[in-house]
Amino acid sequence: MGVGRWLVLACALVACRFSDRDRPQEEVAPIYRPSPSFATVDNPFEPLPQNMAGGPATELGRKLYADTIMSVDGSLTCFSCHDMRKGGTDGLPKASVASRQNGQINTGTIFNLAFNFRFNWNGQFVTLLDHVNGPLTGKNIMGMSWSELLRRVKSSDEYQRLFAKVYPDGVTIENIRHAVTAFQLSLVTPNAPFDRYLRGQTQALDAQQHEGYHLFKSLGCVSCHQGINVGGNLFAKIGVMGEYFADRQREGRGPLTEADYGRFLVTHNLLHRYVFRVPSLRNVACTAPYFHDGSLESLEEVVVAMGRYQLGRELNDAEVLALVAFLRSLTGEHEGRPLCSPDEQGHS
Amino acid sequence: MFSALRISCLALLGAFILAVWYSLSTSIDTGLDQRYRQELRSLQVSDTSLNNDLLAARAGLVNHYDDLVRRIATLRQESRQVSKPPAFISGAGRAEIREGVRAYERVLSQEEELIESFKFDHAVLRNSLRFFPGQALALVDRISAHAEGQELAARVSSFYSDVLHYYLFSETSLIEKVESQRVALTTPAYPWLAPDEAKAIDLLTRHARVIMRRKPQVDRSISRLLDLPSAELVRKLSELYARHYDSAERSASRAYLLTWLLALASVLVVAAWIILRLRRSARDLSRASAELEQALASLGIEKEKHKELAELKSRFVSMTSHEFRTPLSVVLSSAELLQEYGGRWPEDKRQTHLLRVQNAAKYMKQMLDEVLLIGRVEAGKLEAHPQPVDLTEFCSDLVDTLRLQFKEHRVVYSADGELSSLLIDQQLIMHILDNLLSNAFKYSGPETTIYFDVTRDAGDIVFSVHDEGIGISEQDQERLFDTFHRGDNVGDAPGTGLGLAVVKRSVDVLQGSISVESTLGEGSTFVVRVPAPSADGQGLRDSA
Repeated sequence: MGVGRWLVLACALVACRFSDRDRPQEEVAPIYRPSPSFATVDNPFEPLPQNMAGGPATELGRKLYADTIMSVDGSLTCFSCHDMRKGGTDGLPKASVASRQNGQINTGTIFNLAFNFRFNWNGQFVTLLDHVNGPLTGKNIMGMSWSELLRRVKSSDEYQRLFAKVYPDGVTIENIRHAVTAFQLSLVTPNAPFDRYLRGQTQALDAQQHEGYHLFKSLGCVSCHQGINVGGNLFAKIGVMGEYFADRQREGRGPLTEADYGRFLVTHNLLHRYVFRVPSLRNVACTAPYFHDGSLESLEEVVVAMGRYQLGRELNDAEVLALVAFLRSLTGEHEGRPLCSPDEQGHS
Repeated sequence: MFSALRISCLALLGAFILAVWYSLSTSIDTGLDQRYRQELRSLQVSDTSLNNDLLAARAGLVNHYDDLVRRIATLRQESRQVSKPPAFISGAGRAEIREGVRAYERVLSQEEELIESFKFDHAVLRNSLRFFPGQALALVDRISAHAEGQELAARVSSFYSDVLHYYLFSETSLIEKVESQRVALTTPAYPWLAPDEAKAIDLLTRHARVIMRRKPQVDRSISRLLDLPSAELVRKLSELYARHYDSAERSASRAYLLTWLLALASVLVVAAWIILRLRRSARDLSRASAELEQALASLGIEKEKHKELAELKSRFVSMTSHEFRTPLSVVLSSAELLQEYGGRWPEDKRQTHLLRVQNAAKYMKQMLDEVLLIGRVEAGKLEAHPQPVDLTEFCSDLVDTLRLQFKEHRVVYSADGELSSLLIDQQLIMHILDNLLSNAFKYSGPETTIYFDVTRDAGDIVFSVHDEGIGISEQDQERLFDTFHRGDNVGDAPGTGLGLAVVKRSVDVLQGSISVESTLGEGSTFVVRVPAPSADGQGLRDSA
């Protein structure tokens, strides 16, 4: 009799009511929890984890990162502007590889993004997933649209196969975004001399670096550049103690541009003019040129400028050199090798 | 009326409703409930911890902002979790909870913005606080070294202590004083100062200004953060969920009750249906068996009748053949004698034998007539056909005819009442009276008197025939009206045994009655009473 079949149907209907129960969502950006031993009262720093194992999506993300299908004219990959040999940046003052003209703003590194609380200089994106939109669809960057990218990825048998291996639902916009993000999150540079020092190897820093570390804290740099990423966890106005933009123009390093308005461009709050995300100082020696405007070439110049405009004091040469030495101790390792060699660090 | 299709459709519908209700009654997943409550508790804990993190950062117990950043990320994640209440909560309840979560997230955004302000203000403040005391003390020392520097050193020292005092104790009364001191210090009135000392004073006042500006900003951010109703909103969210959980539980138990009621009702309906079916088939069975019994009974009656009829036939055949044997042998013997000796016999002797043949034939004819009459009665074919008759004349004619036949008897005939015009079947009356009167003559000796009375009694006519003959024994009276039965004492008087049977059946056809009184050797009296309405009355009724 058909009753059994009907009962099954009824049960199926009833089951449907609960089928939209929360699917275990893969944690895209896990919140990093430090080990308790470093959450000490007096130490504002914490070493990077030595092992941030990437999931199966990581390799897929790396492949997408290295693929020209990500740019609308097929001329660029993500690595074009985020060169692993240049500290994950393009090494140019302002992003001008993609646009082939004058870029707006200095290209940020793709290393240690997992520990930043906002993305882009003006903090436009709260999560990395959102941030993928920025460069991908930016008119002067990849100039892509999601639908076009989806079409391109779907038309590739190889991607179809690779996505099917990682995601039950295969190629979707969300999965592309997830793979790219997963790859970015895996880019962590552990074992910097400073991290080794934090882990107890006091000889990992030389005398000058020790001096620099001391100055870094006592001068007040540490007020903003603290935490696991030595920055990257707050917004700050550039030029607290001095007229940075006026001085820059006077010194011939460029007039005020739209990009200089910083967070104001996102919030349209007048208090947020010239406010930027405090960048992480990790691998800072590898990511020249510096500042959002890429206007300074060397770490020494940067240290002097920071002392002048943020701390409100003029640093002497010894202090500058010690601080620069300390900053060089922040260079971590990628794939077992320092992100950049000491002699190319910071154009000293 | 209940086709199998309709019944199975109803059963399916019932099963479906039952399944839906059952699923509703079991929809509350305690695992999901526990998980959601746990999520709410986590949100509550994180929300409270945010304030702790904030105060720890403010107090300098924690020298980085990672805790705050992670806490906010956690809160965002947890509020996203909480915005997906379990599916067993009603749609309206889920919408209400989501609205509550949105309200919380709006407050969380405000908190985040305030925390951003706090972090930067606090960083700048701490930077200046690091620098300000050392700078001030070094400056005091250097100025004191000048001969005329004592007054300025004292002012810088006072400025320094006021700024720190304000920072530490939030004494608003110091704001104006510090400001005027700062303005005074920045006014170039000390030509004896070295340029770098003047610059140092300027730097000191700038940092003092930062402290004086940022400290109240930090305090304001903190107090506004502590005032935001985030904890209240999380608490409300928990209450909201508890309320909707309760109502979901109520509706689930209602569905549970309905499930059981429906199941019970289904069982009752099925039971009632089975009972009805059983009762109907029992009724059908008893009716069928009654019909069968009836059929059997009527079959038995038929059989009985058939048997009786067969018996009657065989008795009739044996009796008639027996009764016919005597006259036939008379006819045969007389005919043989006449053939053998007719030529030699004298005329009178021949006549005697011819008469004997005639009598025998007459006897047989009469018997056949009576048999036929009885046969007609038995077949129900004899019916009364009443017509107006003058009974006085009819009876006297009959008496006269019999007188001629039986000359040795006396007949006393009397008629009383209005008899001239009665509605009656003449033929049947003829059968009755002819037989009764013939018997009276036949079974009584010569010189006896036959009394024949006809009287009118109400609407009936009563005939009474009395003789002084041989009488009828009591045993014979019992079977008096049976066919072919004749009394033991009839001797050789000729008779068919059918006369009284014909009388009885005729009386029955006329719906009358007959009675007999008799004593052996003394005589018999037959009284016949039959309804006989007056023909005039009938005529009157007809004309009326």
